[in-house]
Amino acid sequence: MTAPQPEPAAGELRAADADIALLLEGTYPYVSGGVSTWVNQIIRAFPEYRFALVFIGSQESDYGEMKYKLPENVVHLERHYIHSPAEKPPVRAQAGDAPTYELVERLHAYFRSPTPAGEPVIGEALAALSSSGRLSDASFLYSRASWDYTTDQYRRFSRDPSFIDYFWTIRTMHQPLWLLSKVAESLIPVRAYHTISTGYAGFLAAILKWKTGRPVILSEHGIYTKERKIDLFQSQWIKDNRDAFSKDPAEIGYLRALWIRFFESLGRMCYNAADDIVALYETNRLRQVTDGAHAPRTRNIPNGIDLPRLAKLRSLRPADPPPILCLLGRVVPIKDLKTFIRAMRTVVNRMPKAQGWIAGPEDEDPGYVVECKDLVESLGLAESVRFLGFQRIDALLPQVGLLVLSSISEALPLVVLEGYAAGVPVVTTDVGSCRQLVHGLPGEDAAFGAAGRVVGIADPTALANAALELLGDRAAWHAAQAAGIRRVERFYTQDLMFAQYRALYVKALGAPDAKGAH
Amino acid sequence: MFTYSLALLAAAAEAAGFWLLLGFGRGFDVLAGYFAAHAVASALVSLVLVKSVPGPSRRQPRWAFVFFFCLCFFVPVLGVPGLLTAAFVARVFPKRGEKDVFSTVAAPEFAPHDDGTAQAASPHAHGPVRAQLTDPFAPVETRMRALLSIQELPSRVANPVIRNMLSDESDDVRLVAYGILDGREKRINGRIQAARAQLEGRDPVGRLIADKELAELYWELVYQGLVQGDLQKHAAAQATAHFNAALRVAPEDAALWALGGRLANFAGEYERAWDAFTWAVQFGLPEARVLPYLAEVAFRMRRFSAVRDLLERIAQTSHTQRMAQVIEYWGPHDRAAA
Repeated sequence: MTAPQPEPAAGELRAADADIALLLEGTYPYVSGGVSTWVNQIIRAFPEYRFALVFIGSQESDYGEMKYKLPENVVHLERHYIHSPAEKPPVRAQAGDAPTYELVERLHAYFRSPTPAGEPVIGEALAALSSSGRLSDASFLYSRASWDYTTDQYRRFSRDPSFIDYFWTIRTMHQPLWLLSKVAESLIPVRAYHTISTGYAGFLAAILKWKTGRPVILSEHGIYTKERKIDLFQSQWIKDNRDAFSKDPAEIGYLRALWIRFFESLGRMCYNAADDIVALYETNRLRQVTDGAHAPRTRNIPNGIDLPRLAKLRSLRPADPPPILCLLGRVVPIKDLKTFIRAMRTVVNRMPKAQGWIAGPEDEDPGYVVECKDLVESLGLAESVRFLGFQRIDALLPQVGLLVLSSISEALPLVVLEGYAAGVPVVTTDVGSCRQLVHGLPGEDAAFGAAGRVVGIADPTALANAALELLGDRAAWHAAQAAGIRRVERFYTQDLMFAQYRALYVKALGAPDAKGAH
Repeated sequence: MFTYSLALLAAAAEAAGFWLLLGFGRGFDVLAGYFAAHAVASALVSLVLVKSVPGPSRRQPRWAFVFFFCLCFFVPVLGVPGLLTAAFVARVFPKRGEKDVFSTVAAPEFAPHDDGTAQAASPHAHGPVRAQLTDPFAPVETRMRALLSIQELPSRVANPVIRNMLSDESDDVRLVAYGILDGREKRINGRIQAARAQLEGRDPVGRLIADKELAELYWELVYQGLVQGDLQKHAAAQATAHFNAALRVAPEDAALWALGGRLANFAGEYERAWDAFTWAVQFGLPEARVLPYLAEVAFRMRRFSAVRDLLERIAQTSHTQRMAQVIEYWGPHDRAAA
């Protein structure tokens, strides 16, 4: 049973049904980057399937035009913004359903200390959650039972003295869940759901699984909860109202801990609902299992790239590596561009002709862009470090001597594979699967040799030394280039990746309904 | 004013009623006239009461009016004068209601929520924080708690330890360590940007303040261990450049000379450092604040007798426990031998 479809907004597409719904949080087609490129690859690889895209963003003003031309087989596109001023139900005093809040209490108790025996409560809670049912947004916002539950939880658990901050944190945190519930109620029928992260998109997948019984595939590039944690640990907007006497310095603020547990819980609900859970590499797969994924449902499918297209670029390269270090990626804090910029200070001191290029979109975090540009100026690097904005890699890679990745967190960065295919070695921080990409997994892979250098995070001196070593030693540079090319050709082509996803899609599309399973 | 007029009218109406009743015999007309006047008086008194009595009558004025009216009308003779008196008393001597609204509550207990896990999980329960941080076999949770608690230490002490955690095995620990250092550096860099903007202004006093602030902020980056290698050299060079610029305008600024001494000490230019600290005292900085620096510079110049003299002078001033240990160590040998 599907609710009547609203008229599509500008830029949206409408269809009566589709084969696969891709649930996309803050990525394709409105944000460019590694994950978006991957989604684009997947859609184009399966022209036989009709895709519906559900884009979930923070607020509409954060996104501009589409960054990708939609392929023909995208038949449906809808957008939802979790922080847009949504229409709230009319304010009306109500008692609220006491047994429902007992269920909510059991759910929260499960999230505090999850056990396999407690898992069925997730399904019960998702069934109760709806725009008009027992656990509606009106009940959450205006009922006596909800107020009693909130105040009781505050008294029992909150270590933060401010009830006002606690109250508004709880409200703000939970409200998007009803928006997503409404999205699930109105989404067109499809035969399988494919979410590209946990978080809000993963939560939507869990509701859809519960409502329709159709299979859910989860592909995680980074680990969503981990990346949220980084943001939350660093964010300044979460208050900690404890004073010097009531503060245990070894404990993070309660409201911060609440936000972290909220995203962990969303992740847990998604893992619980997903039939197949895909990680890019083994460390992430193990992390998924630790975070609540059932091990038998997990697997690794590494990224792959379009080898023939990129291999052509090798012939365009000069014989010797140009002294150009390029960081290819979005200008956002997680890429830690500042470490790259600082490393450039040392590089330029010892190799004055060297250039640092930063090629990537700058629209996602304008404040951070300003900080980076200020840093360039304050280090006296205005002549040596250039911000190029978004660039086509086909034009860029042949001019580059070394790719640099200074991120503090990555999964399996496509840009490294693209660099290898185009004949560019890499200096990267030791994050995600970067060590595996540079040195190879034990066996045949490792025998290819090192395709670059790996350094610790936030260590500009080490990054600069590694880059200078490769750029200054022709033989070492060529050895790294050869290792990269052999590695990517053997293990990371998109044909290998597509074959594994084809098997997953065939299985999911042919599966019988399993409403309320797991 | 309006209320008093109403009350007077009410009294007049009631008096008129009595006048009819007493002065014009016992006919039906007389009785009807009395009741009419009594009803008017009752209505007027009720109005006065509704207006002047606090509490429920304000929330439900109609019902209060009906209640007062009945009371006046059906209690002959005494009703109207009695309630008029009551209204008058209520108006002139209103009851103070604070005692009903506010009551004394027990003082809140100083007991933040503790579910019993805090004690067990306290990093101090398992030994020194630094040992936990560097122990690769300590559980991630323990290392994380140790990392969070070390933030409370002064930056200069904590930062090198936190920096080591950037190569921790656990992603989460690495990222938190990164977040802490990045946040600290960002705060200083933000202030540097603001001060640089000041530097571009035309006001010479503003520029002097900006130069001084920039010299101090760049030095903070070095002192707190937030920059390494070439960046450290760069920050120190920037600090020195802004120090020199400020000194040209304010050559008798004692605090500036003290900063100059620390910069020169860091650069290994000990003669210059010695001179700078001496100037700082000359221009008014309390000697007690400068003596430890001078002792350090003397030590680096290998003038050990000067170190001992300076420490003896420090011993005469108030000093920290840590400094007391240094003084003890450098004290006369016979005392050490004893």
